[in-house]
Amino acid sequence: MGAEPTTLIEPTTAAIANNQAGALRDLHILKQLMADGAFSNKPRTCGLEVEAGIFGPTGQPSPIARRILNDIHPDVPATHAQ
Amino acid sequence: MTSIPTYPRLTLNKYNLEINVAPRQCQGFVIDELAADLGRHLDALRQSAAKYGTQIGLFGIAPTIDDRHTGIKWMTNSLRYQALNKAIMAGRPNKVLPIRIESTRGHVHYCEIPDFTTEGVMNSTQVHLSVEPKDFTTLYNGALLFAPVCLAVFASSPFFAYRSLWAETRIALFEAILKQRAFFGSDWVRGGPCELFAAWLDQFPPFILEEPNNLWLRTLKLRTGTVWPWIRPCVFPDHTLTLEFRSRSSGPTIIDTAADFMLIAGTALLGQKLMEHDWAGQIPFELVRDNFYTAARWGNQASLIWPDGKGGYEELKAWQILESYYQGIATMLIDEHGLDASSVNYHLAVIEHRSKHFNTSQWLDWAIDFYGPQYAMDLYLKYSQDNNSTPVSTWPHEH
Repeated sequence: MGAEPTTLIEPTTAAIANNQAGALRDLHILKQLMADGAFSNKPRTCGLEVEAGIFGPTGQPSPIARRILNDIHPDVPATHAQ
Repeated sequence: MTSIPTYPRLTLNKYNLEINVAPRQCQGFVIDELAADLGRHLDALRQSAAKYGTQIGLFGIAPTIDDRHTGIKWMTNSLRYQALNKAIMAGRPNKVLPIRIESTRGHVHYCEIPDFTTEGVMNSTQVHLSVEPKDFTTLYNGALLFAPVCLAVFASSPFFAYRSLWAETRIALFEAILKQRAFFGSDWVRGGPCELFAAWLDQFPPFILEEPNNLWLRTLKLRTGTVWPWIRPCVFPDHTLTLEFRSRSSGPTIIDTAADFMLIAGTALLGQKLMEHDWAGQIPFELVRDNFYTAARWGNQASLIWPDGKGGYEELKAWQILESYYQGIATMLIDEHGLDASSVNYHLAVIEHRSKHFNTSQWLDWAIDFYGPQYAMDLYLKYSQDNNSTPVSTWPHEH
């Protein structure tokens, strides 16, 4: 799953242009960080994301993901910004 | 990778969860540690699920799932997915998305879906492997080279909507839904991650627009997070760059997941070495891309095109290609990265057995033909939960 947005806005021409400008600005910052070595000389790491399904007794999907999450992590929001 | 939360969370549909295993250094007993973490998460989820008379299953596409389990009523209230649904369905004639998949059994599956929730019938495993920017290009190309070989052995989703389609139907279905934004690639990568991101910004308009905020490289990450190549660069606020491997289905067991993680990492790192010796010049990218879709269609039975070492090519099954590289993968992981030798060799044996006997797709094909989807589903859930150290290639199966 990718990042969860905070507040959605309508795709007006101005909003799309601002988004493109913002993305290009971010890309410039990223290039600079990489050129400065911020992403270098780090130990090799690895991770896993695994998606799972919830199934009822007849093998049909069961829409209770939020209930299960609330059970095991009642203090954590089910979705959140990355 | 510190920004990946290490607890389960909601995803697209209300019957799915995503488990994030804490990233760790790629050394020693990392394969076993990732497996143990995944097991702890699954145990907690399964205990909770049992209270409601339900089970947690790791499927690419569950054999009992069909269009009754798609539609907006099944979608979580995630703003991300609401925005994606609106963007993907925008401008569609009659507000439906046509899906057409030519099966390997000669028929064509055609349907029209009213929204994006069909994507939620598919469950994947995503592996992240960090890389330094200077090594990005060779690692990425090395990973692309071996991706078809891995996919052939990993294939796990032969059915969708009660139709037999591809050995890994997820590949066809995901690309049918996401269209040009889901792809294997069109050429070897020559620049770094920023060149790929720049190309995507040119090619794909924003799918998600949000109020400006101060989160780290937020606009870029939201944009690049709505492009889904089967291997994708990702950046994280702790200044980690990773390759995200997206083509493996979820399941069926923890041991299979751990073995496949090792194969992905081992072949990518070995492939990087090959690319440093100009392997990209020995095999045209188009052959590698064709190999990927051949592997998705036929799984273990796919005939893949591979350099014969004499300037030509030969057709080989995945197990035959892997036989030539097991020693290289082991040397790479054990000697160069310090992974435990017994752990690597054990998980390589799991891969070798699966590549020569049957993978999840072949087991499901057999079980559904023999028992029907409902009982095949029951058996899959039973075998995958009874003993997490029993890989799928040793499950009961009649040839």
